[in-house]
Amino acid sequence: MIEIDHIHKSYGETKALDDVTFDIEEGSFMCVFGPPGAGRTTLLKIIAGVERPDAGKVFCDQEDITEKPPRERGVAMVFQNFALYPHFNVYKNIASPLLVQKLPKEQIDARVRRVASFLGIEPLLTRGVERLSGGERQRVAIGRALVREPKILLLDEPLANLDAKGRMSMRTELKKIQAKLGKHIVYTTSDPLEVFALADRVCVMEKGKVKQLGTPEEVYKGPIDMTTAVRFGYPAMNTVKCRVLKKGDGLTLESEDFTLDITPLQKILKPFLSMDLIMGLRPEHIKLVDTKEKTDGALSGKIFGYEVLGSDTIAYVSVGNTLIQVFVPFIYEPKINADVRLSFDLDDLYFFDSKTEKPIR
Amino acid sequence: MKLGVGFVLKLLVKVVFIVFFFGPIVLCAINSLRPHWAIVTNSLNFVPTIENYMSLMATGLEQFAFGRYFINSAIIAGGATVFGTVVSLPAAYALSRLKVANLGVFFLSFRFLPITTVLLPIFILWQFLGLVDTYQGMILLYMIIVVPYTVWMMQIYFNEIPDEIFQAAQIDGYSNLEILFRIMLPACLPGFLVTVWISFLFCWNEFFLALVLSGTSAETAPVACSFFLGTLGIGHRWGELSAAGILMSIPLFIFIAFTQKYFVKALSFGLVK
Repeated sequence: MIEIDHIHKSYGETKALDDVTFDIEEGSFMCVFGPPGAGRTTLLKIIAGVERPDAGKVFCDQEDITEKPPRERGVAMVFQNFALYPHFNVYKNIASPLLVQKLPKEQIDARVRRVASFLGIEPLLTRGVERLSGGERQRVAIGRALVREPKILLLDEPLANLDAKGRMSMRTELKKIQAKLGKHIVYTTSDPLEVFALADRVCVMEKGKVKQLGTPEEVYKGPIDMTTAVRFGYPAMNTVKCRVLKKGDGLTLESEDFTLDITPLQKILKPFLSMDLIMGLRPEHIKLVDTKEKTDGALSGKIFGYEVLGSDTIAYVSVGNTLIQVFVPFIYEPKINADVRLSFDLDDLYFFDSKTEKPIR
Repeated sequence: MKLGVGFVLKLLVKVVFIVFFFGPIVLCAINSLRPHWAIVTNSLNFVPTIENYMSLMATGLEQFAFGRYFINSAIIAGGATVFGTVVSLPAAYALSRLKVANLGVFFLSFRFLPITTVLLPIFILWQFLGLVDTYQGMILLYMIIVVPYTVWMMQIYFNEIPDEIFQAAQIDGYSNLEILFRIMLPACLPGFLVTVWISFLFCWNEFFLALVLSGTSAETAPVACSFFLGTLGIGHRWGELSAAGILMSIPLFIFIAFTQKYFVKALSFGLVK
């Protein structure tokens, strides 16, 4: 188990990490999720030992490794820009951590070839790294990390420099690697899809602070605040400013552009009567339905535009002046300005305090 | 074949450049093969001869014995370059990576003053230390001049290597010395060769300090060349001077021939990314 214990790190005036604390359990795949500048890379570098924290400690299996040099930590790291040695060929790049340990030649050779064949880069072994594609470089970087059989594998946005197809196949690959290694893997990303595909647990970071820890599902269902809710999902969550009002025996939700009957949510929303709130609705929770069908909780709007993404579509529907994104799980090419209705389950709505942006359910 | 205006213009520019840069060398080479009378009378009607080289290298009494100076120069310039580089590399590495205080400008400040200003103190110090007119003395002196420059240059080349490669090497388990010699240095080999080259070139060509601080036993080739300009009362010996010039260029030509491809890379450093 790795314990990150109250780590602080500043570069001049900038606070890169501010009291970061969490654990990574043995054999778990931990994603550190956050926007650029959240301190993710600094965190990995501190775990690796190439940066020193200003305060705080790092433990590995109860042993304090904060002052240990990187080579004694049993870590391997894949950098975002791969950081391959430009003057070595693929073979020497992968073999490099073993060459330093001065292992017997046959053993090095066997291990390099095993890793290379696992990653499918055996034919490239004699090639110079400058002549590799992004995906190939990435595999070499992963190969160099895996060949030493590390206790902790750190991956810093390893898929960011790949094209869409490479990203897909590498995701599958990484899942395989984890199943095989069963070691600690810490993985940083700003892509929620990668988190869903890979992580056992996710640590949401922003501005050097840990905002939320949990399984991807926990964060998805119960985000700590509106920013996290918007970021943690693709397409991003729709947010609309609104106010809860009393109407007869029930409650309604009033926004500039629509009114929604939310009587079934009375229990939760009654304390927030006539307060400013933000309603959140995930694009994947909305269904587009025929205008003739009358559905409860439905809003009506017009198609503003759409984007076909391979086999899915993101439709943009204008409800008055409010633009709502809707995820459609098939190719959908509607007429612009066509009338549509948006149907969704009231239980899928999120509500946030408009000032603190904290969720109120 | 079409001969457009552009083609002719390009050709013209090339010819001008070639004449400008190679003309003096060719002239020097021709003069070195010209008998003394042909140079004095400015006659081109001569049979090429190696008599200038023979006279230059002859070792008898009252002869130039240029070979000795050439060897002196090789030892001093070579020594200063080798030792200077050995000292500079770790310093440049430390400045670039180990987050020691930023001493780069401090290093370079050794070169802020014209050397004439410190010549007298150096002379007195060298005399006190018994270093005047010795190989050690000359090597040390040239190192003092060359090291700040090589440290500065190598630091710039090291800085070009991304931090991540340095950190990857740390994680892989390389020690600082190993990172320097197995990762950083090979990765900026072109820059390193250019730095070594320029520092060698300085030591090889240096005249002023050698004139003052070397006597009979450590005199270098550039000082010896001044003999041919009338300082020994033997008149101007253009033939021998040219021959000496050609001989002194040979090591440089050989070095360039082997390292040319690196030079092109080093000089375009940072341009192609």
